Formats: sequence, C-alpha cells, structure tokens
Amino acid sequence: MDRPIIGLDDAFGVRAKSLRGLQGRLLALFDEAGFDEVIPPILERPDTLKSGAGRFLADQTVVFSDPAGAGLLAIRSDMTPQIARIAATRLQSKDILKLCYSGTVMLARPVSRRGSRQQWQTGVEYLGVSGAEGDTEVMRLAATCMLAAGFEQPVLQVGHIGLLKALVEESSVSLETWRELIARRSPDDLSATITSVNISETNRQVLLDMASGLGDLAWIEAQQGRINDTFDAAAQELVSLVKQVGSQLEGEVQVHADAAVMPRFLYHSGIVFAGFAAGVPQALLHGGRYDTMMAAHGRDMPATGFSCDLWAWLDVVQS
Amino acid sequence: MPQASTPLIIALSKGRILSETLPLLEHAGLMPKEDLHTTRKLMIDAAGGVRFLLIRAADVCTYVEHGAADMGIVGRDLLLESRPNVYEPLDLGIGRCRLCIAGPAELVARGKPEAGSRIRVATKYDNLTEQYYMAQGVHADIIHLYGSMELAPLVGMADRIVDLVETGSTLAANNLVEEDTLYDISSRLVVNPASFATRKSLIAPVIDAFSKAIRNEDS
Repeated sequence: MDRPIIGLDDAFGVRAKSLRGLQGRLLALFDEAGFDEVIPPILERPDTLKSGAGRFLADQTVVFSDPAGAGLLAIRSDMTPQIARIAATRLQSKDILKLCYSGTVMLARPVSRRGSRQQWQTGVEYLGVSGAEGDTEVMRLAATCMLAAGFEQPVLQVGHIGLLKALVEESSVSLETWRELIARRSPDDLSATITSVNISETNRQVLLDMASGLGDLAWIEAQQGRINDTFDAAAQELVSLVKQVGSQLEGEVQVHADAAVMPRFLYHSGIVFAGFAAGVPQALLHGGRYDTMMAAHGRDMPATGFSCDLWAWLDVVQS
Repeated sequence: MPQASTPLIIALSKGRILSETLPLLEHAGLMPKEDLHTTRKLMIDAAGGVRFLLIRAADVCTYVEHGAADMGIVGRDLLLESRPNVYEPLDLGIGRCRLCIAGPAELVARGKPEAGSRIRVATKYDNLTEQYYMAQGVHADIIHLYGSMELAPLVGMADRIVDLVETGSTLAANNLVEEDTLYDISSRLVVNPASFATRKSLIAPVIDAFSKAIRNEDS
C-alpha cells in the first residue's frame, strides 16, 4: 500500500515550489509571445494518441478499459497529439493557432533504467504558418526558456531532416536506419552499411562527413549544388534560419547548424533542433517542423513547435 | 558538472585495453602525468588540459552518459549491449576480439539448437543473447554471470555461453568450441552528446588527434 510505484514520485516542499516557479516563468514567456494555453484532459481515446506523432510512442502509452463504459482509454504519453486533435476540432475556425501547454505525461516504461515514467511536458505548437516565420519564433522562444530557467551557456543545435532524406531517397535502406546511424554519429558503422547499399560516391562522402560531426554552417554551404535540388532547398532553409536566429540571440545563446541533428522520431518534415547547456548531460529540449503530421489528425496544416520536461530541467538547474 | 573552464574529462578502462590505449594517447599528445598502470589514483591529469578517469570498463558508458566524463574509450560489446545515448565518432581498432557463442564440443557437434527449442545460455550480454536467439526462434533462458562463463557448461548449468573470444585458448582449455560469431569487437571513442554541443572546440581536436594516432599506428 505504501510502497512507491516504479518510476512515479511525489513532489512536495521545495521541489513542488520550484516546479511551479519554473512553470510560471515559462508560461509567462509563452503568453508574452502570444501563445494561448490549452489544458487537455490527461486521458484520451487511444486512436488519437496513436495516430500522427503519437504512433512513435504507441508502445509507451498505457491503455485501459474505462469502467464508465467509454471503451478503451489511454493515458497521454505526449501532448502534441492532443493539441493536434483540438486544432482539428474545437479550434478549426482559426487559420493560425499559437498554442502552449504544460502538463503531466506518463510513459509505460522509464526511458532510462530507474528513470521516471512521468514528465511535466511543457512547450508550444505554432500551427498554420509554414516556413521560416514560425520556426524563427519557436526557436527564439526555446532559447529564451533556457535563459529564463538559468542555464549557463545555452546552445541550440539545428539541423534539417530534408538533408538526410535528399541523400538517401534512392537507397534501399529505411530512413529510420539512416536516422539511427547518423544520430549515433558513428562513421565506422555508417561505412559498413554504405558498402552494401547502392548510393553515389558523393552522397556516401557527404553522409560520412555528417556522421563525423563535420556538418557545420560552412560545410552545409559548401555542399550546395553537389547533391540535388531537395538537398539545396533544405540547406538554404537551414542556413538562413541559423543565421537569422543566431544574430537575434547573439551573445545570449549560441546557435549552431549541424547537419547531423536528427529528430527522435521521424515525424519531422523540416527544421529539427535540440537545446543544450554547459554542465547538463542530456538535451534540454527538442523541437522542429512537422508539416505532414497534422493531416493524420484530420486537419492538414503546417506546424512547428518544441517541448521540454520540467522535472528534468529542475533536476539539473538545482544541481 | 564540467564547465567551460574545467578540463576535458576522458574515461578510460583499466585492464587489458589500457596497454593498447597508452600508445594512442602518446601519439595523440595526451600523455598522462603519471603511470596509469601503477598509480592508485582514479583521476589523473594529462597534457593539453585533459583529465583521465580510470574506471571499470563496464562503467565507462555510465560516466559518459551522465556527463561525468565528456568522452570515453569503451568496447563495442558494451555499446551494443546497453545502447547508451552517446556518440561513437571513432573506432580505435584496439582491444580486438569477437563476441561468440560457444558450447561443449559434443553439443555443438549436434548442430545449432532447433527453432522452437529451449536452451540455457550463460552470459553477461543478456540483451544481445536474447536478440540472437529470438531471431533463431529459440527460447533462451539467460543465466546472467559476471565472469568465467566457460565454467557454466562444464558444471551443467548452461548449454551455451555468449562471451568475448580473443584467441580461443580459454575455450579450448575447457573443451568448448565456437559455434557462431555475433559481432567483431574493438574499442571505440565515445562522446557525450551535450558535451559535443557545448564543448565542441575542445572535443573536435581530441577526436582529430586520436584519428591521426590510429593512422600512425597502422602505418
């Protein structure tokens, strides 16, 4: 009865107070930037949580039978599918939506051994605006949040999934395999895979450079005109965005282009980014553009956003 | 937690790999200020603002994943088994061996376990063993051991073992024979992703130096 449940903790005293303080600061920043808060219920129909972005977390979603007779219900493992559902239903009369949220999500299993199954997911979704306008605002907001939380020497690492897609579109190996290889940045494993795949010599070298961590701004600019139009379009978008956001945040947050920045899940369609800070061993936030995902939730519209886990932030800010 | 002014911390493992690591450190211009074989210290400074941690091989990934070390040198066997969230920028080509399945000569002579059968396997590589046998359609009861796997079949506790094989002499001495190789193993340089993002100007030259050191060794 009084045994704690694995991966679930009570918060009280200073920890509870710190969480609310941090949450208040971030929500105030979102509000200032014109994002309206959405508070969805903690339960959803499994279909909503398992479509679109949610399908990547399907095996992390707890599903149970509703004693009140509504059929199967699921505890949310991610808030983005809920925001997408709301955008596609209750808020469908508005063309542009700037929404923010902050609430508990629960995973079926902790991501790391003995880790938490609960996250206090907090973030924004900017829907209905395509291209740089939305991405700039979301990236700037992500950076401002890291500053407001008190992280030292924050860095935004920015990539574009279009680069990888353009490089491997004709290969027989799945995009997920490539994503995993590049994300692990192992040129040795990548070369082992490449030898058995029909891919041009130029693309092979470019992929190896990416995995070797050479894909910075100058490198991306130098690759233009070498691969194909899709690659160039993604490269141009990435370069101009990094320059623009970088100059806006000059002296506060470093903005690095890195062609090897990969999304955790393959629902992104454009820019992808992650936030880091000195002395913090993991990424603090993840974000990016996912224009093709909203259609799965019933409303085809461009979308971009980012999210973070306030519990994880609190643990590293306090230490 | 490392800040910009703190040294670049590299986790090394004691034991077999260390002897092969030292020449690489020398070539890379990162010689430790003390003899790593004899020192009782666990933290040793080196040239170029680098500090080494001397820990057990199995702990290297943990230190790097938690950011207590920015980088580390670790066997591919451990990377495959525990899939830590680290970058693997360089295969150092040292500590070469193979991850193998072996069993008593008379059992192996009868052929691989049939699909649908159930066998007992002693190993410290629970995940890799499970994956391998799942793909064969064999149900493997994993018996987790921390060392001396070779003993398990001799005392009738297991039908097979999954372990690193370097020369095969320990297997032969215990009347065991190799049945299959799962992976070729060597040691790799690993990097914490957040360190890579926030301390790239310190880390990139070290990766570069190791990469040149390997080429030196080869030539």
